[in-house]
Amino acid sequence: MIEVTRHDIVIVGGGAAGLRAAIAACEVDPAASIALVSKVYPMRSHTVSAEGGAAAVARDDDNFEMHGYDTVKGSDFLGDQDVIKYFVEQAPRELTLLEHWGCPWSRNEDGTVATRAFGGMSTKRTWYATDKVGFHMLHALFQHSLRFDNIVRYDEHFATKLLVDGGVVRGVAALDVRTGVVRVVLGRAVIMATGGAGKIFPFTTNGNIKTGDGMALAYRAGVALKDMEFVQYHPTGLPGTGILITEATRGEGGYVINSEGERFLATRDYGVGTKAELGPRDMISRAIIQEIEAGRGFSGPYGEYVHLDLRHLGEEKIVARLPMVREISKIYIGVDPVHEPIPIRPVVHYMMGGIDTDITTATSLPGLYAAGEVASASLNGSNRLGSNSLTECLVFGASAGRNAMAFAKGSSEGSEDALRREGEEEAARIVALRGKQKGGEKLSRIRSDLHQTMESGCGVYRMQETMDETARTVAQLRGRYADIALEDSSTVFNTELIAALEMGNMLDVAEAVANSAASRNESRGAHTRRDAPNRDDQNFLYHTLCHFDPAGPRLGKKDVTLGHWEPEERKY
Amino acid sequence: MKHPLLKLEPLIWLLFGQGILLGTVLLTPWVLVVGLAIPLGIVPEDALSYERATMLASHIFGRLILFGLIVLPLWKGVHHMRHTFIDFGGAERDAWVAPLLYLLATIGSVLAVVAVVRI
Amino acid sequence: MSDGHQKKTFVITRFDPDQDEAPRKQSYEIPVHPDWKVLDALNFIKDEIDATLSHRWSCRMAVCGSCGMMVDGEPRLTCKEALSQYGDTVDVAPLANFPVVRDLVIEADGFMEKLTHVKPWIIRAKELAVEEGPMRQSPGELEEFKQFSMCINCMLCYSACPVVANEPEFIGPAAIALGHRYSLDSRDEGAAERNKVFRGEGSVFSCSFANECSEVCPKHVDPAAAVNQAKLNAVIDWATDLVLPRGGEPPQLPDHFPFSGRYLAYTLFDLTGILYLLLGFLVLCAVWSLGSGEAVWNDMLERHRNIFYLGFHAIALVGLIFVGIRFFGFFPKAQPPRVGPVKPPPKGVILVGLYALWIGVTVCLSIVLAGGVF
Repeated sequence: MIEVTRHDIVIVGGGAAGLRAAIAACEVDPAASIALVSKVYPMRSHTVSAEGGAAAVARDDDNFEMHGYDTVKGSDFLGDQDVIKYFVEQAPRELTLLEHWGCPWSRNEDGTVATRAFGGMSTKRTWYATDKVGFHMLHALFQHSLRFDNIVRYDEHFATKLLVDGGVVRGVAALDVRTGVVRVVLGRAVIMATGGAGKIFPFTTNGNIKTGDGMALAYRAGVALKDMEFVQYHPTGLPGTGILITEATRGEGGYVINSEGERFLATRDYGVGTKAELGPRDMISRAIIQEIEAGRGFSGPYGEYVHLDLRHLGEEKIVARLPMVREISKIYIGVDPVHEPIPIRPVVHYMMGGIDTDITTATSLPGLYAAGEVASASLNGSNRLGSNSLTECLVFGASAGRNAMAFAKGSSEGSEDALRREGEEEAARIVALRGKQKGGEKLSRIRSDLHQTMESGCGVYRMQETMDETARTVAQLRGRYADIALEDSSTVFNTELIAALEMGNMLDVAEAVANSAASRNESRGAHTRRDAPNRDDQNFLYHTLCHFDPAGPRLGKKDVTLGHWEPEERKY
Repeated sequence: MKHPLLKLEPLIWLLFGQGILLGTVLLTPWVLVVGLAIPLGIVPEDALSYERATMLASHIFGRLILFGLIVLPLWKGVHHMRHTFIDFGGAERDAWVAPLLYLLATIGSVLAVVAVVRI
Repeated sequence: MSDGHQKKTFVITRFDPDQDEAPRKQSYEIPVHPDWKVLDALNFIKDEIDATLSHRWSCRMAVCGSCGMMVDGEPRLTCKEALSQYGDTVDVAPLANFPVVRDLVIEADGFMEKLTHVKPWIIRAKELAVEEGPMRQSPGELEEFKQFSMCINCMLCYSACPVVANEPEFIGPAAIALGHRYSLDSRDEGAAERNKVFRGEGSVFSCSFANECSEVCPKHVDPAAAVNQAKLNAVIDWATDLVLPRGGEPPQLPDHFPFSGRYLAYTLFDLTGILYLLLGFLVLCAVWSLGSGEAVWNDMLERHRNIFYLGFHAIALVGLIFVGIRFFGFFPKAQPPRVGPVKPPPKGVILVGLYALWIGVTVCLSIVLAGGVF
């Protein structure tokens, strides 16, 4: 019933970070066996939906100091400054590698890589491939990875548990979605690269697969989740579906307009100064909500919204630089941005928080590494700058691949019997859940109740009372989750079972988000409280840690690494 | 039998493609005049009297065009017939149908050489 | 989202190998919202009516490529297709030409192997060091392969391709397009290696101009163009490589073909082969008789007055015009995008040129044959 396979390292997640880690591991040792476990085929990973670009210093008028300062200021000084310095220095190298691997970066006339402006960036340093950057990066990485036959892919395998023996991670248990078989995939180090958890919210740019699986696995294995209260709202999502309209629309010169025809980011004081539409995401999202609350929004069937106007850019520029925005707008909201403004409203986009790692991507659990959105190396602090995350996947994915390989070299294999037993226990849990008929709760009800409480307690603007309420509701939902009934007992491609396992993961992540948020009594970056509107460095210049405990989460603190840039008031 | 066919596929495909393109271009006037206009009496019959036909055909360009008029449609014809066989459920018989069809076209092509030389 | 007043019935192909011997149809009548895509209806059925329905989906913005299915018999991305364009009954089935895993989920491993087979990565004689920085590539050089890099691997083209139906080994539209994309990339030096692949097992020459792949491609990649450019490259590779013997297993052909109405034009195109074969032999006979003396030649002309000959030529003329129109529309795609430093003419110019050639040759040769000159 249980199949055991053995590799040097195991990577969970096949998006940009996971693939980059796999390639980095091959570069370290071309003979190593690398398992790549992903619940979807790698090219379906959500990296594919990223649109605007990837940041790295490229131009003569730019330097690491400027990129670092923009990032630390964007993070509202909660980013670890050693991590930020490492990141900006590695960034050009990583994007260059991707160029060598075939990524079709857009070009200047002289054949050099073109760069565009992005929110919170002080100069043009965002590399792009029209507005399908995530798509092109993911496919270039995936296709490049195909040349390494020592990367053993476990496509459509859903990892459900980290297997730990003697205090060291030795592999994962993974459900083969197509056959229902649980496999024990062993390695002497494990890298988590499963992405974020936007699906704990109802209105998100994230795809259906973004359920926080890796965060929950690490959390349950005893690793803290860090800074989970910081949830990024992207200012420009389509009402109704939440589909992302890239920040590159503003980078290329688009305007955000209210119902009075006013470019309020330029005319009113929302802290973005002369940057106007090129301000950071947290500030622009707040500005849009305030405009709507002041009655200067439009109302439609999917709630209130404002306009993103690209008409003045002209058809030629829109077709050349923003073809996907045009395609998406036409298909999903029936608007051609060449002739009409696009309705937009802030939408959940990215988790700044994640598995607590240090600068080397290592976690507190020996043998476990994490990179990409699932991790929080504290590059992004309390607010991520647009176009830093794709680069983050590469820089920290590569680092995780190298460091996990180094760890694996010095680590033993652990007791196979003990690991097999752990796997068998996990298989028994999954079999018991599959088609579990006893119970009074329906999965889709729990999901909609979770969505409702997360939106009301952990939205753009927050209050102590509603956050506490949400934390209590999530705890109740965990109880109701234990009582779910499932209809599908098939062993083959049982998507209801997968959804149930994902729901367990989402509840863990939601618990960490709500409790972390309720503990931070200040406003910083994406965490904005009406009842505590100012930043409070005296009391809250620290990272929030959230530890799993069956009795309820335990919160802790971790110092922010400063030293290079003095925290100052964040004004643009 | 499939193995040598696989190796010859590029040549067959080239003849097939040109059969569609040039074959169609050349066959259209042939069918219009020789196949329809002259037999129907729209064009006087002596337009292709033996003397005039021999004069036209024995010119080097005449011979070349006639050669193309035979060979290109043959290869286009057999290649498409092979596909038709497969489409209508003859896939397992392709191993002998395909060589047979290509053999037919090869014989036709050899005869075409003889035919245009002996005019 | 289900507050709409309209109702639609979804006839969905179900198959659970744990329970079913063969696929079966199941109907669901549900209220639909005017803004819904086909995928929204499937998710509604799964959440509210039947949790056992299995289908793949993720990004719901037509870029991850997960949710391809047959909708009313056509391969479609279900997150992209508005429900409003369909009638009261919508038929949803798994993608054709793939083994079914369960319900609407198909087996994609075959495609993944084909993709690996075409070496979709940059091949260079000498790898660049990262310190050398990004390579230069002009916007024009980028443009040459950009279109073929847009493939999201949704595999709709494999479902539409009649050759894939016959010959599962055929590398197929998307994989050929992606291999060709790297061969066209100015940074790549691996075209020769890929040409060997394109000529090998499941070769590009299996393609017979159905063009269905390009018709259904949701990203306008135009794989048919890539396939036919790859053929041309493979021919050139073959011509320069004739002396070398070569291995490779013969393709295994399946024993049935799902013949359906959508391929009518394709099948008719194939059937014109008989007309061309007969025409070729008729011309052969005519030329042969010309070499056999006046009496035989006159007999030949006399025979053409026969009603069967006349009828055949009338049908042949219709066939020629059909082939010309179908193929000439397709032809501009098959041009290599660049021959040396010369830019290819736009597709419209090629098309006009082809028709001019056709009409010109027809008029000139007809005049000559009809006794007009000489």
